[in-house]
Parts: sequence; structure tokens; C-alpha cells
Amino acid sequence: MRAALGPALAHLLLLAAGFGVLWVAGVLREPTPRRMLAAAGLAYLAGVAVVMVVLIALVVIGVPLSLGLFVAVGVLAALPALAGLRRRAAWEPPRVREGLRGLDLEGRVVAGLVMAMVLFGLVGLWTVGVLPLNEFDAWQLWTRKAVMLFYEPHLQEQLFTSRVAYPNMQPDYPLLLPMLEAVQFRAGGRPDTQEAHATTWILFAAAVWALAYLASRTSRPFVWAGVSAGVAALLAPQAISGYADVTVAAFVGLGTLATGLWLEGGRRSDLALAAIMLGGAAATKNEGLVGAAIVFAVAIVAAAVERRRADALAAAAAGVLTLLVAVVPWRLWMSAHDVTGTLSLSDGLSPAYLVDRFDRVWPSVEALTSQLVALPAARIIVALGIAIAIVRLRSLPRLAGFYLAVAVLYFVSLVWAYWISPLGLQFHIATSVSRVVLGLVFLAVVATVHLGERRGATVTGS
Amino acid sequence: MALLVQVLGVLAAGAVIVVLLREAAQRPIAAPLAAGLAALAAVWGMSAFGSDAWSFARGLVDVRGDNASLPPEAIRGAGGTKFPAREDILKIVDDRIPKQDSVFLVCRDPACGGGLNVWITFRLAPRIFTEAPRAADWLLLYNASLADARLRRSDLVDPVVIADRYEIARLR
Repeated sequence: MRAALGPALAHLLLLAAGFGVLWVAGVLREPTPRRMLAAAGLAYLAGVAVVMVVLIALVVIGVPLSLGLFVAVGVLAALPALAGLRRRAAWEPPRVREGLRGLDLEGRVVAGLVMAMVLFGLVGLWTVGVLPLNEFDAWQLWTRKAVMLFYEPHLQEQLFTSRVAYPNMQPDYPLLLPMLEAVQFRAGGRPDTQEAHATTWILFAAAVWALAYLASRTSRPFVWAGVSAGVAALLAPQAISGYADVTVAAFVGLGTLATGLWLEGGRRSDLALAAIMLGGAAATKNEGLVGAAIVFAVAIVAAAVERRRADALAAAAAGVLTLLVAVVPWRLWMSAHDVTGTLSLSDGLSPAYLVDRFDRVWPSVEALTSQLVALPAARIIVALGIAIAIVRLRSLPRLAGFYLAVAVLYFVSLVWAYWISPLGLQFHIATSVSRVVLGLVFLAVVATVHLGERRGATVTGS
Repeated sequence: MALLVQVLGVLAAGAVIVVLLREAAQRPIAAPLAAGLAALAAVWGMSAFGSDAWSFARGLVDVRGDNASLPPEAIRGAGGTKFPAREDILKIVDDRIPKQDSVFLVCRDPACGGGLNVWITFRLAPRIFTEAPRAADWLLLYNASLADARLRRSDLVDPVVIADRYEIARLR
């Protein structure tokens, strides 16, 4: 009984925590059942990002991980949502029948598509939780740490420092996904490794849901529903792998979209949401940390170029806060215990080292671009995203420039990672390129929904 | 190059659509072109969902019954099948060595050069594996001999031979 109910309750607590986080951030200040349902995917991701980052920080300073600690942090994060629920409108049942009756043809197509996506998500949830965990990186990099955190309330130093006993374990990878899996295991009372697939599937489903919700603010229903459906279908095979790549791509993509919305509308709630999503990205994988740094840096430059000093300072403050909360605790623990990663930053910035390995650059560029057109998950959406950003450069220069700059710099960061990696290039590319490009795919998707067809009147200026 | 061709192709297709719709004459071209490309993206998404999601979901449903009825040892040993790992041996080791104890693994199996050693440390988690025998509570010989471990029989306490070249023992 506990094995089935416990994990479900843990995920529901994360959802509730996310609603509290969104209320505090100002994203969902006047909740109604309809709005809460629409924002549930975003709320879940926000809950995961904030609760896991807090748990990581607590464990790093020596607080023992326990189910009670998770519940306490989750309930604390959820409490602010009660303020929104005091309003009478929050309890009025949604008028589903009237709403459906008033739909035009586009609305009916979208409603049908949304229903199909919900069904797809439920079928996935029902089936992936019993897949045996046999993907190498899934158990080696992520679930291994989760199992340890299930049995042990503290981080086991030897696991992260012994390169002989634990080779190629990427000890420097952040702990968001292992912590989430560990919490799920603790809630279920056993380390059920099959459930690792359910964890990444729920994160994926929430990401598609969140994409549709955020995209619905800028694009017409046909576009946000259609593009979200494409993302759902084409990233699903990677989402059941138990890897963190879809999760980090989603966090980076959604954080970039929220930053784009802030650049356009100036709402602080969008910047807060961006910080939460990018904090989640930075706490998931090193690519997420680099992606978050790029998004904030480009946002600061975009604001500074237009002499919007207050906005540049706000973006800088959000970036620093995100770094302090989501990255610094884990990095301090690593530093205190001499944990090092595969990639060396000092090597990566050394001109002699870079020149010596310059022959790795072009094969890396070729491998990444060929994945962007060959990978089923990418297909034509990357080309569409680039084309739309180019088309919008004159009419929406700030926004289009922002998306293009983030995508180009993210691409360059991936090339740089291959350039400085001590691993054999062919091996490194063959084992990772189909996954690391997902961040670029998500960036193309969010550029498409933000810069393409605009909801309401055509926007002609930035 | 293929990506560049795709981008140019998409731009050209979008422009053709706009011209055909005669929108370019009345409005600046950027907005309708971007809208057309976004609509193209939506059609792409729907078509991808229609063609891929159904078959993907059906594939998951088809294998669910088989996966749900897998015996516990098949589930526990799933990640080790590709090496292949001796799940029968690891099950006994898992039952015998307390979870809080540390282990020194000596593996001379050819697959230990390709990841089997990594699998063994995962399969037997949360036991911590050490780099040297003196730091460990237990010795695990996996397709190895005591000589491979550079230990003497007198270093071991209550050794248990599970099979030829597969042995566990407490370390003095």
C-alpha cells in the first residue's frame, strides 16, 4: 500500500509546494480551479526546483535527509498558496460544459488535442513505472546517488571521491534528480529502481504542460497546443530513459521563455519564474548551470543595451540569487571534499590547452548540427525556430536577438565542452550528442511560441 | 550545412505562403511570415503527435504486462544483463554482506574492463566500495583469485566460497 501511495503523495506535495511558490513569485495570485489546472505543470516543476534545491542545501550543511524533512519543506513551501485559496473564486467549480459549448473550430481541435495529450501522459505514467532500470547512465549517474540517499541520510564522501571504486560516475553532477528519486523512494518505503522512469516521465509531462501554459500567454491556441503536442511526441522516448537530459532541457527552455516574457512585459513575476526554472536547471546538470548563466548574461546585456539600468540590475540580482541558492551549496560541499568533475575549468580557459586540442572543434560542430537535423526529437522545429527569430529581428529586435544569442551561446558552450573534454572525442560524441542537443531543441520551441503567431493584434514593435 | 539548408527552405516556404495569401501587399512581411512559420510548427507538432505518440504509447502498453510480471531478481539485475553479470552470485552477496559494511572488490572478469565492476557497485549499494582492502570490512572476489587480491588466506575471516573464483570473506 505504502509503496504505491507514498510516491503519489510525495509528488502531490511537490505540486502543492509549487502552487505556493508560484503564489509567492506572483505568477498565480488569483487562483481559480481553471487557472490552477492550467498552471499545474508549471507548479509541479517550480515545486521540484525549490524543494529539491532547499533539501540539497540542507543535506550539504549536515541536516540528515528524512521523509519528515521533505514533508516539512514541502508544506512550508505550500503554505502561501493557502492565502490564494481563501478567495471564494478559488473554490468555484469550473464551467466545463459551458466552456466547451462556446468553443469555435480552433478551440475544439485544441480541446481534442489537449485531451489526447493528457491520455498520452497517463498511459505513460501507467506503463513506465514498471520498466526495469537498465540504461547505463540512468543507474550509474543518477539512481546510484538516489539509492545512497535512500539508505543514508548524509552524503557519502567516498562515493564522490573514489575514482577507483566508482569510475566515470560524474561525481560533480548536481543532485536535483537523485534527491527527487530518493524522496520518492523514501515515500514508498523502498528503493524501487523501476520508479526512476516514472520520475523522469512526470517531469517531462509537467514540462510539456508548463510549456503549453506559458506559451498560451503569447501564441494562439492552435500554435501552443500543436507545438506542445510535437514536443510531447518527440521527446517521449528520451523521457523514459531515466536520464536527466529532458529535465534540464525543459528547465532551461522554460526559464528562457520566462526571461523572454519578462524582457517583453517587464513583469517581475516572470523574472522570478525564470530564476526558479533556471535554478532548477543549474541544480540538475552542468549544462543547466551553463544555460542559466547564458540566459541571465544575455538578459542583462539586452536590458543594458537599451539603457534599462533597473532591469539590468534586476536580472543581475536574479542571476546572483539563483547561483547562490541553487549552485553554491553543492559546489562548496564539492570543494570541501575535493570532489572534481571530468571537465576542468582552468584547462578550458587555458589558451595553450585550447590550441592544442583545436582539432576537436569542427567535428563537434558537425556532430551537433547533424543531430539537430537528424534527431527525431529535433526534426524541423529547430530550423523553424531559427527562421522565426531571423524574421522577427527587425520587428522584435530585443526578443529575437535574445533568443538567437542564447541559442548561439548555448551551442558554443556545448562545442566548448567537447573541445576541452579529456574523453576521446568520438566516444564522447557518440554517447552524448543525441541528448545534449535537447536543450537547443527546447530553445527553438520556446522561440517559436514566443516570436511566431501572436495572440490578439499583430505586434509590430518590441 | 543540412541545418542551413533547412532554415533557408523554411524561410522560402514561409515567404511563398505569404505571397500566395497576398498578405505582403497590405502588411509588413515579418509578422505574417512569422505567423505562417509558427502555424507550420503547430502543424508539424500535430502531425508528429499523430504519427509518433500513438505507436509509442501502444508499444509501452504492449510491454507493460511482461514488465509487471518480471520476477524480483530480473528487475534487480536488469542493468547487469548486458555485461553479463552473475545475478545468482550477486544475490547471495547481497544477502550475506550487511548493507552498512564496506567492501573491497577484486574482479578479473573481462567484462570488468567494460563496466561490470561499476554495475556490481550499484547492484550492491548502499555498501561503500573501497580502493584498498585495509579500508574494507569485506572482500568480494568476483571471477578472481585470492592472489589477484594480493591477500593471504590468513587475512580472511569465515570465507564463503559461492562458486569457483567467487568468494566473500570478512577482512581482518
